[in-house]
Amino acid sequence: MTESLKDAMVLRGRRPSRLPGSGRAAIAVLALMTLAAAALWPWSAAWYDVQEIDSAVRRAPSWKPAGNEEAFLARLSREPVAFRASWITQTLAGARSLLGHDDLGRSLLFRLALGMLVSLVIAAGATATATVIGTAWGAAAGLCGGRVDQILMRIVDVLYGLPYILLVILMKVALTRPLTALLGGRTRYADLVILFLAIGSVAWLTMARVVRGQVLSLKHEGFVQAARAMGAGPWWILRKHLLPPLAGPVIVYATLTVPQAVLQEAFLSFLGIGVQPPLPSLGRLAADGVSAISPFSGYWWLLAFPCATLVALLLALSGLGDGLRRRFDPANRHPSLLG
Amino acid sequence: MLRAVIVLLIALLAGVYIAGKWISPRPRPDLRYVNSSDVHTLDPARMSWTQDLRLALNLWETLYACDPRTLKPVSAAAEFPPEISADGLTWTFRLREDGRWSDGAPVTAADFVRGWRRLIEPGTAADYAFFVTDYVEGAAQYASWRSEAVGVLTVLSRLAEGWSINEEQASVLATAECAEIVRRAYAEAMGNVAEPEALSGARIARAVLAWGELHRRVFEAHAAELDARFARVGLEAVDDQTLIVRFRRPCPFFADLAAFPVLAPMHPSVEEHRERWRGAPLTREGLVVYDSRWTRPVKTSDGAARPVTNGPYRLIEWRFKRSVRLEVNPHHRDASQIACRSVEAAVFADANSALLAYEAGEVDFIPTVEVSYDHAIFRLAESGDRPDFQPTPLAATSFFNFNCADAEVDGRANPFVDARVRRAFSLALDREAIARHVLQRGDRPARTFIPPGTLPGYDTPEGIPFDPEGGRRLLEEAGYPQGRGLPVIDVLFNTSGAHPVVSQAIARQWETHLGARVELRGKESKAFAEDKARRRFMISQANWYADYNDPTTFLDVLATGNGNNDSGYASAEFDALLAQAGTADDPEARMRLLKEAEATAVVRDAAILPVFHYTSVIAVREGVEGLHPNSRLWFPFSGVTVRR
Repeated sequence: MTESLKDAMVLRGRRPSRLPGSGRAAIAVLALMTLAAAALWPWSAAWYDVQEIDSAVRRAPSWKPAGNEEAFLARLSREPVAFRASWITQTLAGARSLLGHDDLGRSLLFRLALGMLVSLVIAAGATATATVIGTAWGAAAGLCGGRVDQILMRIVDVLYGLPYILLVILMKVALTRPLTALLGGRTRYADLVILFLAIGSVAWLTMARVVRGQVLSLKHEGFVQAARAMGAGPWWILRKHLLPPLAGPVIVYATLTVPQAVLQEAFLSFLGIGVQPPLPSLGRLAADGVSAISPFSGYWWLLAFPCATLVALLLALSGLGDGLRRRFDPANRHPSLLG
Repeated sequence: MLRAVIVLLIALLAGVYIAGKWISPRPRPDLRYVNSSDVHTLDPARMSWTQDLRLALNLWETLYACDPRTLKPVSAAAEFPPEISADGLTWTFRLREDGRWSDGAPVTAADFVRGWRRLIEPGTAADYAFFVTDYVEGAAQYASWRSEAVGVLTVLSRLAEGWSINEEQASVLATAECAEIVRRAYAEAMGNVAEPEALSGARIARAVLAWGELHRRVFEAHAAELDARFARVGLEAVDDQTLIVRFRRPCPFFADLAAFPVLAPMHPSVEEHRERWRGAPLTREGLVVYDSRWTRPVKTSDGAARPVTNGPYRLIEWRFKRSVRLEVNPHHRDASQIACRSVEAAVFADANSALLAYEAGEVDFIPTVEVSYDHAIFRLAESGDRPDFQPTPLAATSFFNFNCADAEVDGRANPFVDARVRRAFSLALDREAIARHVLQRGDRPARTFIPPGTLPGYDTPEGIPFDPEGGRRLLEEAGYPQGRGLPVIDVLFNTSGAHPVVSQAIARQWETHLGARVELRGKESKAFAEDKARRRFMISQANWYADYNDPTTFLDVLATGNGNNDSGYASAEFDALLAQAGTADDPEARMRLLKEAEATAVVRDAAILPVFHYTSVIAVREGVEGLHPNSRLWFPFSGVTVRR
């Protein structure tokens, strides 16, 4: 007893206060990619569908811009953000052929920038949905216990058993019409919302299980017992003693959900049930790239750049998640309690 | 234990080895070509898919054949040309005496009547029944009399089996012609004559009597009348060699139709596969139904093979979803001269793997290369590096249907009921740019529905130009200046092939030129077909391929109430022009009327939005001669020579 207490006191000072190296690298890559995509947004949103079909169809990557700049600049002037004359706009318009052009002569650079943003927005939306539902559900099950716990967790089990694609398709069928009508016929935004609702509504299941497990074990900790003995109510306990230690695992798990959601979005768009053209997403860009590859033609850039972006994004997100997991791992924080 | 496992393994390996020895490789056919999907049916009367028709035209010989070089009719089972009466309504076909079935029996005029009669039977549900019902005298009446009788017998047979029927079904019993038979049978069955006027369908349904007896009597009366009724149809086998066809209106292009495989003759032995009830060759519902196994290749004990066909080839083998094998029909008049003795149609569901198989030399011929990178194939063909890839302009058009009929789509007002809006959208489309820069595979920009120059004798009207300024003006006239007030335009397209790319290009042009907001809705083929059939779209992508060499093969699609008229276009003026052309005696006047009809529907009313006329790349291995690329992808194999 005294030994382990001493260990705990000594080790407290040794707990890693920063993320491990891989996590830091991941954050750097992620921040770079996200910031770049976000910073390019005013231009990519304006230019992702500029089709230079008379001059740039399936043009290979090059430093020299293809086509006419007029189409690009004219498109910008109609957008709410008018950057027309700035040197940034001029530079960016000049860089449009950097990653090549697709089969409608659209700049892959701007499609990729917007596609990444679209994928990230869907992933973030899905993760937020999953976190809110999952935490509430799991905490309710863990706190109430008994029959409520049984019912709530059996629902989770049943939903787990259903095929994931089927659920997504069902949601899409059910929600497309009302959402499209709500958005005045703009199906492309309805698709985004449906996608993150659909992915989120499937991803919350694991989150609910993780949170319930945590709540169950925390419930029997000494400090909770003590609080209860002193007459604290369940809400007070939840707020003061349960939610703060839950934050770690929830954040870690949410971070790990993001790459999953990106991957699922890519997968669904690849199958053709994700976002509708001309809106790009990483999955859709990759799918278009696959159909352009053949023994007779070498449009490698259409497949290589979207896939490389997808891989980099997924690696960075998993690296971040892993780093956070180690940062919040109780084994690192209170090693003695396990020893 | 271990020993048992080892023994078992050795036995297994030995088994595999012996099986490998035993299953010898399949003999390589003279010609192996790609079938893009499995055969849907080998029953010529029920065909509508190109790959099925391709097999049928080699298995069966129709009255005439279509020359693959000129696409003009030539002698086949009958001598070309037919004898045509002065009013153009009676055609006499003289069958050639050396026509033989694959069992050696001569082909007779009665075989043709049998085949054509089958086409118009309601039980056959043939897509091309209109080839006969639209033109042959009395055929439409016979067909409607038959479907009415089938309706009555279906209801009666349900009653006889103890089911109850509803009011609507009961009313079938009181319909015009059949009511008479029902009435008579009812009177006989009841033993008294009820007053005919009071005998409504509902009353018959409520009456308590022996429904089985009534059903039997009506059935027998109908079966007895069958042949006498058919005799009124203008199809007559005068003798074994003479077939007389009487038309209800001039049909100058019937020689083309007569070369289409759905009008194939039928061997008498097929009648054995008919379902019978109470001694009559009908089902209890009155349908003419054949056991579909009649098209399965079978070798009977006496050496005869079925199905019995009269074409240059006969069917030897049909492996489900794998291949169909044909071999020369030894009794065919040209049997000794046919160089290509065996043909195999191999199924490749995936176009890319089909092309890879072709590149590896496993197949000799791809009727149409449909890969996602077909522009690369076209470029190779154009550059001359690959003379085996032959770009061929087709008599086929890719177009979009405007929803001309529904005032509201998905709760939004549909602006396309206004012809001015449709025309504005059609004017604002740069077809040249799409065909030349986006598709890059030799497709011709389409400014009309009918591909110019593919139908002999037809002079294409001045098509719809690219005139965005005119489009904007029309849109303003219709009440949408600069596209303001237009709802979000919904475009439905099939996600296969080049359609997604083309749809995106079109949407962008409308956004640029008209200021419209366009949303694309891509669906895979089945979901797409369902939305299209229910007309759940404002604009929807479509294709049409010519079936025969006459403008009506395209224009009939736009007629009011035509089963393929997905746009819902209904114009009395257009229908009248088609009807006038239908009765015109002078072929030139007829073509002029058809030209005017096309100009009315496609250019003035813009019922559809033509985009491009297809060009397809045909891959024929070097050394295979005699597969002449043509605009209808019509490939008879009997003239093919193969050198390895």
